[in-house]
Amino acid sequence: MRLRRLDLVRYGHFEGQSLDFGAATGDCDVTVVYGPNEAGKSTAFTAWLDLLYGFPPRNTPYAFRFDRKDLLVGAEIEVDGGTLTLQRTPKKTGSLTDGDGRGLPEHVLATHLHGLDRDAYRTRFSLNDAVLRSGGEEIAAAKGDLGRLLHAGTSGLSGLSQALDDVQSDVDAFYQKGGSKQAVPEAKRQLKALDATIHDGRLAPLRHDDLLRTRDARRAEAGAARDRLSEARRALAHAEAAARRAALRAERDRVARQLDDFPDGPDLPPDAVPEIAALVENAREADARRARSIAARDAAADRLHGLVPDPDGLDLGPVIAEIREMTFDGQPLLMRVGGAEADLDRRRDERAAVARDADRLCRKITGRGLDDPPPGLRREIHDRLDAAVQRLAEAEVEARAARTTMDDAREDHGAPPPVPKGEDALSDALAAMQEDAPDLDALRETAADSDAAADSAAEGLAQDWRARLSDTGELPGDDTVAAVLSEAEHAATRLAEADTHASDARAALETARARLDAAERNPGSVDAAALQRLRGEREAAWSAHRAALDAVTADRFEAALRADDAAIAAHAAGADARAALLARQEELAAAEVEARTALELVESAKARNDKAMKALAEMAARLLLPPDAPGTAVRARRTMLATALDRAAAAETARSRLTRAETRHAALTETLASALADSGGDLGAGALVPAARRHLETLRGAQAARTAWEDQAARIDKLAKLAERAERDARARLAVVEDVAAGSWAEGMAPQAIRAALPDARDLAGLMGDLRDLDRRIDAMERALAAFGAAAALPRRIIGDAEGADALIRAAESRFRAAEETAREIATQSTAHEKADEAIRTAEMDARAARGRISALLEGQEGAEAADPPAFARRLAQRDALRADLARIDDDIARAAVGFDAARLAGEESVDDPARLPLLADAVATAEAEADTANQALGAAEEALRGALDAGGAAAADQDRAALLEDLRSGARDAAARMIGLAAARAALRRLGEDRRGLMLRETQAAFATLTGGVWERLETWREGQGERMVGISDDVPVPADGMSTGTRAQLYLALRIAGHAAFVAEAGPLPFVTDDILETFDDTRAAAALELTAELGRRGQAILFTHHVHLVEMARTRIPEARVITLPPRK
Amino acid sequence: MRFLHAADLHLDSPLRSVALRDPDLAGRLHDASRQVLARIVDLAIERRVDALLLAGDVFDNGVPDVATRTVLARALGRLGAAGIPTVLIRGNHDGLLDPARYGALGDSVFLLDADRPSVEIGAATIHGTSHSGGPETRSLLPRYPAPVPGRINLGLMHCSPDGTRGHDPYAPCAVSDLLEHGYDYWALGHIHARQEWRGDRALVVMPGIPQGRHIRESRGGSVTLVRIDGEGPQAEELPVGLVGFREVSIDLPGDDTQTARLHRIADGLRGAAEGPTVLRVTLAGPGAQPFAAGAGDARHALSELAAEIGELYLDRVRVAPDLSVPDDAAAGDLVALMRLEAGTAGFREEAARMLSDLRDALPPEARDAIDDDTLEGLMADGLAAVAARLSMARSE
Repeated sequence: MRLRRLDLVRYGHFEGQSLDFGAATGDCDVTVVYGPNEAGKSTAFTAWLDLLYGFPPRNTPYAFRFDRKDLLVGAEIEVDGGTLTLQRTPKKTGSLTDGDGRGLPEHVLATHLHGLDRDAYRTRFSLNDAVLRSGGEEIAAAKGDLGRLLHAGTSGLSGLSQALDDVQSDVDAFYQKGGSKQAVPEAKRQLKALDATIHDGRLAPLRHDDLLRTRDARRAEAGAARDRLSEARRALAHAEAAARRAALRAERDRVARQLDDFPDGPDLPPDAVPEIAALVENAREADARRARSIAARDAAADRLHGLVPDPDGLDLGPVIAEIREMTFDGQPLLMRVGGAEADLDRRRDERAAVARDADRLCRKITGRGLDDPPPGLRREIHDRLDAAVQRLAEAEVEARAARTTMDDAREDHGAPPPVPKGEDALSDALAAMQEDAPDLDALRETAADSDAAADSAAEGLAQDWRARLSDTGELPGDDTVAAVLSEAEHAATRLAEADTHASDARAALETARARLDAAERNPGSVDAAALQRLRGEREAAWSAHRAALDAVTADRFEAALRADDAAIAAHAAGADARAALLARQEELAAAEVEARTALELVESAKARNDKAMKALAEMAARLLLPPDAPGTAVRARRTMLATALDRAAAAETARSRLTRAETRHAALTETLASALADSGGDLGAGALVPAARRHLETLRGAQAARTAWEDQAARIDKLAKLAERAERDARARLAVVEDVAAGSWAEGMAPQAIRAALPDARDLAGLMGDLRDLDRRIDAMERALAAFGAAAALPRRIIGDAEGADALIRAAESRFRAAEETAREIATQSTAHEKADEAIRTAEMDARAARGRISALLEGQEGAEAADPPAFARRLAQRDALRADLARIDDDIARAAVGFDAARLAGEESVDDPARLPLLADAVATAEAEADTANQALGAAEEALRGALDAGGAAAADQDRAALLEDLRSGARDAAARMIGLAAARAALRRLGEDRRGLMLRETQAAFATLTGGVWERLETWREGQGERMVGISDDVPVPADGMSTGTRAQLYLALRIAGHAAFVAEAGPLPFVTDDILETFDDTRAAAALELTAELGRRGQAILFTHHVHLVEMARTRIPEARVITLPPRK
Repeated sequence: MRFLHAADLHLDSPLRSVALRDPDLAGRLHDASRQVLARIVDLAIERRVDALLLAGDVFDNGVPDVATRTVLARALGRLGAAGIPTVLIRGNHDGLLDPARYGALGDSVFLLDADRPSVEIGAATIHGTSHSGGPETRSLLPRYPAPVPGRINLGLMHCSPDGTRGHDPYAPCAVSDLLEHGYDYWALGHIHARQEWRGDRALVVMPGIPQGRHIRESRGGSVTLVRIDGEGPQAEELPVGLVGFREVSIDLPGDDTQTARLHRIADGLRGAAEGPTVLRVTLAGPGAQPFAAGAGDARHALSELAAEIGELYLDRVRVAPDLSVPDDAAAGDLVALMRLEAGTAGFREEAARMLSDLRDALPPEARDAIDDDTLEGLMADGLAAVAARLSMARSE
């Protein structure tokens, strides 16, 4: 894909701005776009992305001059040898259109973007200074790792290392071998603490059993202690009871002696002493009360003599109250009478004036006076008449207007135009031709190119290569060929190695033999068998000589004797020689085995080599080569045949596509021609499509005229109906006026006369109402005055004349209140006189009763006649108390024996031992202490059991433990997944390094050397662990990529990106590559070098270089003569 | 007559969810089973039932704490004071119900076993048999007496009725046999999901666990009120659980904005919550992948949404790998290569070894989370997580 023109129709601050990159010329497609800062270079690049991928779904920063819905970007792009004119709007659907605004499917563009999405295109095919810097940082962060660097160059991404480090951090935060602060060890510590808490908090069954046993034992011990305590307490209680009874008897004797000094007589009743004192006080108080009552009775009698009653005044009260309650027409009578006294004369004058005005209007409307008023003088009749007359006037105006409009329309309507035919069919056929017709020229060109490519690929092959290839079966796979070649090479190497090895083994065998021979020749190497043999020979020589005793046998014997002696001497001194011989013998045996093995290996390698050579010959034959063709030729031939087959297939596909396209094109042409003829069109001498398009426009014009004429006819019919309806409406409204006027003063009058008389009629109706109202009011006042006169007859008689009704009533009320006050005072003084009489009688009776009761209480007592009854009564009370003490002591003595064993108590009473009680108390204290101890032990045991049962268990810790384990499970799953994902990423990076190292390393090295002016002459890789590290070589000194300076790393990153671009173009094809002021941080030398690389990019595809530096523009013109320069105007 | 039927209380057995890592929630729910027991007692008193029936597994063998008995004894004592007896049997978790060792639970509590297989409550005779302590591999039904003529007959049994899965195959029993035994009502226990089976005259009910403890016990949370009158037995499910366990999968399309995704997630969460809920969430689809970028990213994002909804507590939050998403074009080379690598036998062997190392570092109780069977899923999750992080690097 190549961008020929970018149209910024309405985008950002641009309106109607086009960037024309022109057609590609020469072999270097570079355009420099120059513009000052803020001129819109970034805007233009974003617009290009929006055109390719659509506007982002929501807010775009470029909708500030135009509304988002009005933004529009267009472009003309070159694809597959043709051009596409495109436009893009922000609409949700159908945003991509052709130059005429017709919708286009997205795949029209997508097929040329090689699967890259928006972000991927941006990162792969654009570059700016910030990306360069972050790319340099990525080289440092990646520690020069080859895979990561190649990935950065390929993808344009520079955050890979950080991303992988982040994932690693996530994993490390969960678990790290040997670590102590990660989630796993921390959780283990927490689990341990929780386990301890749970152990302490739970009441385990065995612990429960222990607690239960302890409690039962303590319970038995406490029971025994309680029994001992009870017995001690019983003994002490008996002794104490005996002592208590003795003390009570002594007390009884003392009380009996005191009683002898008091008077005889019966016991006083209970509470007699305070009662007698109260009775004496009561008698004294009754005497005082009688004296006060006599004084009050005398004062009341004196006041009654001065009071005189007023019965007439008392009679006025009910009458005045009744008058005040009286009402007239719903209001208090007195208020109405007051109003009538003030208003009656004024209302009578007012009525006379209104009657005069009404009479005048009656005469104006009907010519008659007020004594014969006009009928229908009602407001609703006047309102209806007013409305009806108004509607009638409006309807008459509308009817006249409708008639005039209809007459005008009829005059303007001319004769009908003719009806066109065949427009739809022609339109469909034309659309089909425009949208579906294949580009035959392009397809023919493609087919021709494919044929040429196929021929080129098959150059050097026999004419019948495809047939021969079919005879030999399918083209063997690259892997298969590589395997055969590898096996041939390997087998030859193995054979050579086996031959060498066999030769070495033979030489070793000869050497071993020679060394054995030398060892055997050493006299010291004689062995025991040789000694035995020589001894036998000596014995035989001796036997022969003894038998013969001649010189010959003597010599032989001597020789044998000497040989034996020599051998014995040599054997005695030859241990080392014999050991050397043995070693030589073993050496020879080993050499013989090695030689045999080497020989077998040679045979085996020969067989394998023969087989491999045979396979190679067969492979050569399958690839149409002589059987003795070398391996290099076989590999090259396989590549050639594969390319030729691919291109032949491509050519066939292209031809097939062309044939189908031609058929389709012919069908569309026939349909269009037929549609043109059927619609009355004429092909003439011109081309079919333009003729059809022109005729279609003609048909559409005719159809529009016919439609307009029919619309006007329908409108005239509608206007006529409207005029008739308006006239009907006017007539109906006149009838309404007549209907409303019937029976009223307006009956028989014309609508205009009615309209003129309506205001007077409304005024007259109002005056007639006023007259009626005044008559009603005057009548009411007269009646109120009469009613008051009747009701106020009694007050007038008692009080006499007064100034108006109100004054009369107030005087009567005053007289009534005075009479009432006098009557109340008389009643009060009479009551006081009677009450005083009654009090005198009561006081006399109370005094008598008190004195009689005192006598009754003291009856029968010795000396009752004493003068002071209260003092005498207190003395008797002392006597009675001593008598009660005596009785109580007797009861105590009896009660002190209750509950005790009688015999045991008697026994205790007989004991006369002062130390007995302390002794028994000590025994009780001892038993109590023992029981307390036992009870405390029991209480502790029970408390321990109860406490354990009530402790609440360890539910909270259990819950924390369960949740912690769940958290750990969840964390483990996540950490494990990320750990595996990370391992996959690292393995993938290794594979990336291996897969791309060839091409990309070469391209990167060349670009890096160019950018650095040859300072860094080459790049190498060092293996580190499982990965490889990129190393730059400068002056034969290796420097790891991450150890380079910041600027150099940025240049290396740029070189990687250029190599990545080369790899992409080689695999998928070119796309416009945009750089934005990446050279501004370079000095002139480096910038010049970078421009040369930009030219290199331009030779592989389209390169667009944005800059705001004039000197870079000039430098580009010098370095890249073919470069085109576009200048953006400064922003206003 | 009315009875309240419950089973499988598993007193003091903890809830197993990541959500309980929240101290507030853990504080409120650490005694969830005790609170539920109190609710059951309240309910029995409020509905004036004739007896409470507990069909086994009142306790939990995983929590051998005699103090738990005190909780049960007090709760049933409160019930007894209200005039309501309790009839119960031992299940396979009820070692703490041994009267010879721990004593009786109270005068109003009747434990049915071989010595006392039946008890009369009003017009009803309740039959039951207790777990003997060893594995029960045969049906317990033959140990149950014949129905008493003229009385209402109920049976308490801790068993595995046919057709149930996911539990120990304990005391298997055919439902058809129960229905034909002649009892009016069978109060079962052992299976933690509620189920009912109705015959011509009899009703069999497995009430389920009153308070689910983890995500696989999402079908509990209730007890059963049984009414038996002239028209036969009728069962009514009454909720008692404090919190429910639910799972939800929320699909996120790829073309949503982040705000729209969060709205969609919030809607999904809101739709899944039914009262107080512990929710396990799976985010699926292309729009979910960014949430896999960092450990805890998804949980963090959802926590804020859940807090706004209220009474919603998050269990695990997982991002399902979206295999339908094509390899990202920019990071794609690497992601595609990762997938290739992951498909090799050598890598799988290495991944299994890493998994084994990590597993060995975990406490034994947590090792099952990453056993060998999980390898496939973990590989898919891991590749998706790293791909998401790489994609984020590109957009940064």
